[in-house]
Amino acid sequence: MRPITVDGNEAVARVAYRLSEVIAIYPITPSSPMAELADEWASKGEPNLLGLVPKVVEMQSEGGAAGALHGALQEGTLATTFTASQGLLLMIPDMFKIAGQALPGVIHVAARALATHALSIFGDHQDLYAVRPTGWAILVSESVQAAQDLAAIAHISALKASLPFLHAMDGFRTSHEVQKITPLSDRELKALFPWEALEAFRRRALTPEAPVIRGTAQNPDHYFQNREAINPYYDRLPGVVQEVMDRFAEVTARRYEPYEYFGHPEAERVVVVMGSASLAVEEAVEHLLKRGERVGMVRVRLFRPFHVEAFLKALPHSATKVAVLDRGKEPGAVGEPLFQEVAAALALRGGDLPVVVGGRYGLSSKEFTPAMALGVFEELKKERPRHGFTVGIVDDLTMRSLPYPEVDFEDPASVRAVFFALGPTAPSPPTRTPSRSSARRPPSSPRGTSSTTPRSRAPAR
Amino acid sequence: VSHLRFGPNPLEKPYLIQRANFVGIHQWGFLERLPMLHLAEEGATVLINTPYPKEEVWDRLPRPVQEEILKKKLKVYVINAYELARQVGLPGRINTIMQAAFFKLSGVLPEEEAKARIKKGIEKSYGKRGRSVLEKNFQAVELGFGAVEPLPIPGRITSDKELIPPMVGEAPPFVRDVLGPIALGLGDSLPVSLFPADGTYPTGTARYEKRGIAEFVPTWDPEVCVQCGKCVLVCPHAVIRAKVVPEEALAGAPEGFPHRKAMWKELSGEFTIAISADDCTGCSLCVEACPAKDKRNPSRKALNMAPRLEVREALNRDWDFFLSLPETPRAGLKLHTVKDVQLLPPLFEFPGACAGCGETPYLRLLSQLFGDRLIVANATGCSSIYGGNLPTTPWSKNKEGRGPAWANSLFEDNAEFGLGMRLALDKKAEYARRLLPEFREVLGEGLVARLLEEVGPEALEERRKDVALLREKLASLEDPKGQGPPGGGRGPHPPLGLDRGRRRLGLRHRLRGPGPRPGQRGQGQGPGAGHRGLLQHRGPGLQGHGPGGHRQVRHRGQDQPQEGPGLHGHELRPRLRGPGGHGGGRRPHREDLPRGRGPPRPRPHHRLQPLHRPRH
Repeated sequence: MRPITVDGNEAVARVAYRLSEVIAIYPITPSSPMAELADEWASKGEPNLLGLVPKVVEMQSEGGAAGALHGALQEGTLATTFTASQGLLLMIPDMFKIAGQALPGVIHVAARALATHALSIFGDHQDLYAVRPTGWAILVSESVQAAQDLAAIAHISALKASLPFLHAMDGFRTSHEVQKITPLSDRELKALFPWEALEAFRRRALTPEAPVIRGTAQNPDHYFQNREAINPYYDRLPGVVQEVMDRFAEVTARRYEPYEYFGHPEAERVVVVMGSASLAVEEAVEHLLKRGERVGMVRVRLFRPFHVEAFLKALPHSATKVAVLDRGKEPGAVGEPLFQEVAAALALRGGDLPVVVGGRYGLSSKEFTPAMALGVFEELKKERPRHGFTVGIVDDLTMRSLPYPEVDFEDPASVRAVFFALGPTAPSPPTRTPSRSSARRPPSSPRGTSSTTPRSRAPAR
Repeated sequence: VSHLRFGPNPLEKPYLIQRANFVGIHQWGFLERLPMLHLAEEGATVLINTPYPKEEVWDRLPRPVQEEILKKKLKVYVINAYELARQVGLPGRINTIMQAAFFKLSGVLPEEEAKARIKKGIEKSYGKRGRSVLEKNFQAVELGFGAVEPLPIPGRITSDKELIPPMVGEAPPFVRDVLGPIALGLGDSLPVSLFPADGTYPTGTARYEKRGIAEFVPTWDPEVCVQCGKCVLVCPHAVIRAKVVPEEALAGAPEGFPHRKAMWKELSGEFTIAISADDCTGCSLCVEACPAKDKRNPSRKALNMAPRLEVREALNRDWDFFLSLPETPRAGLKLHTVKDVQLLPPLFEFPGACAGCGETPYLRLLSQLFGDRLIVANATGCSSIYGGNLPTTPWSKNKEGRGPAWANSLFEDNAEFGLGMRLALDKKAEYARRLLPEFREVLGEGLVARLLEEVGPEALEERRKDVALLREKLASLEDPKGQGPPGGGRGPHPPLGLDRGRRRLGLRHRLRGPGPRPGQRGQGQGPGAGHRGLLQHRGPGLQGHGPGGHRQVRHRGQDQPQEGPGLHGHELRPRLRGPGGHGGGRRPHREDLPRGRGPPRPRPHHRLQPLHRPRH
């Protein structure tokens, strides 16, 4: 396939659109372009993988979109929505219902901060963390290419596992980054698509031809037992994701793992991280490896269900210090959600345990650079590294922030242009056009990447 | 079930009583079906509220109850609380009497002190209701203390009666083995593997659960009856049914099976009404609605309440025979008339709603008119409880296996949930239509053309036949494209192009404002207000009209149903308005009613199977 140049939103929407029959939307920044593109394509009569134009319906709120999603899934259709932040919060009640009824819905999220002391339209993982207990599987992408590919893996896994999937990329950082990626063709998607699982899902549709009731009310004597009856579906889910990723690699030659390790095979200091920041950590690890340091990184893609066994397999046994980086904040908790998972996974493993600490970075799209990752690795050299640290800011109030060195990670072979401009007319052409046109050059030509400068963007909501 | 502990030492036990030394059985009907004495410890005291004289009680107990009494050497006392309540002028109100009897037997306080304290409590609770209510309650206390008597126990088993199984008739295994124990309150004993992973349960299950809770049930007098159908229309529990059948169908009728020549211009045959005594809640709305008076005895109507225990045998026999009778053919019935609608079999029956519920008659009516092609997106509320609280559900199916398919999402998302279903159905139909021409060679031009034609509800049966033919032809097909017809033939499909209506049925009770959201309720109505209003509700709301009326129903149709062009609440309501406006039947008492019931669904599930329902 010829590469295409798209941003994360378009990369995901191209896949989601083709794998959906009903798309309920209520656009919210930074996920809006996914919804808007789907709407545009439907209005132009673009077909999905089944040769059908998906029904795109704009609801009155994200709560409504989630309700329509639930209804469409009851009737055995492929149903999808796009959202972020407060929108995702509004979907929570239906998310519990959809997961509890083992329905394979998909939500694509451009992960965004939550409104606390202030609203922010920028990216972090607080919204994902807020829906941890809903029973949805959560897949997190680190790049535009991964966002496209994991979007497909999410839809396919949902059908095969009979459970709903939330697929997330970092809001703005990935959702609005223009990148040259290898697209997924219809042919590839058809080869990957689980037709039998779709057939089985269709057979579960609610119909007066063979009526049943769903969404009952239950009492103390049986609610608990019935709630446990779903266990086998969650038990097999990580295996399903692995299987789909393996098959994906066969078809596209792009390999993904639910938990991926990068670094020294006998690393002592390891960072665990999720999302786009993992690419910055990767650069820092590369830098340190060259200097002979035994460091590494685990990239978490499958956050829910958190598969302890696969995670421990990815984490080198030689690790003595582990720092878990969370792009979120849960005040009052022992640590942020990813830290909790990692700490619990290691506690369950038992034996000689490494020191595990957690820290925060990147809230509301706060920059996270390889240099900051170096600061974290430096902290791990200490016998008792700080827990609950922050990196990327100066905290002179509670003294939690880590220092980090000034190191230049830029590629000297690259052109690095910055444009200062005003209003919506300026940034788009200069940043988007070069990278788009670069996609048409031979593959050896420099890859163009650009990020929007959302500071000037009027926050839609 | 209420659990009460007290004693000289502080009791901090956040769990239910495991071994009781006192068991109060306030409903005789419970004795015939529910295990209760398993909680009694050896030598415990048992108090039974019985409608029978003391001498008859022992012999009327089921054998397992007798056995347990003898084995555990239980001390049994009896009292006829309903009779005493009637004597003091508080019919149905047995709580004070039973409380007094408990104090007498438990001996926790000296008798005089206990009486004084109970009366003080009564003054506090009912003081505002006036002197006469207080006096009646005081009298009830005295009677409760005085009338309780020890039951003479012969020391041997005299009964061969077994407990009535929780699910009667030919209940499917899942209903019998999973829903049955839940109905008995023994759900704790069920292991995880018996439950469907996605919470999908079968319909048509309430019919197996005969609760037998009514003290009085209606009986029908065919000679007085004018065959208007109002009783069938108002019955909240679908326990009164009517049919017009050919005379020869009555050949095998049990003796005394009531029927009379049908008074229809268009229909000939015999008209009959049957009553399911053990499903009836005794609300007596049917009697209230009945316009026919016995000219020889004006106090009698075509329907008259009678003690259930006296008439149930005959009623049940007639009921069973009635169910075996052929349905009155639907074609030709005028579905906008109450008189004709009564002849349609309901696909919503025996809900566990409060006696006299004002919502359920509408759902029953809906199921009569459209039930075999109805999908319900239910909003959480009363309708999700009587409609879908385990163990059983009133949503039912007909002999062909068709019936309302029901799902409840939440309260807040109800409209969107239903819209999502509609969009999905439209999309699937569109997909099927797109695929059809590709299968022309297999299906034949005629069938494809017929299926692609947009038709109305009048073509329902023809369309069903074509869809069945389609399924059959596609089933024989080798996967034509190596990927299966994704939306194609084998899965269930909405009948192509048929009746794309979407309607909203609002069920509201009077304490809720016009808006369906609780947050929109007016001031001064706490969260409990709505519920209390419901319990007090006795009319099916058919009388209520204005904004203060009991219930209102609204239908909003995109397209007019050919079948029932007149199905609008306002057309039905005036026909049923009672002379007295708000009626005056006997109010059900909360304590008379069994607590929550639920919706059910059968099917043993193992491992991952549960999601994939066997199709008809």
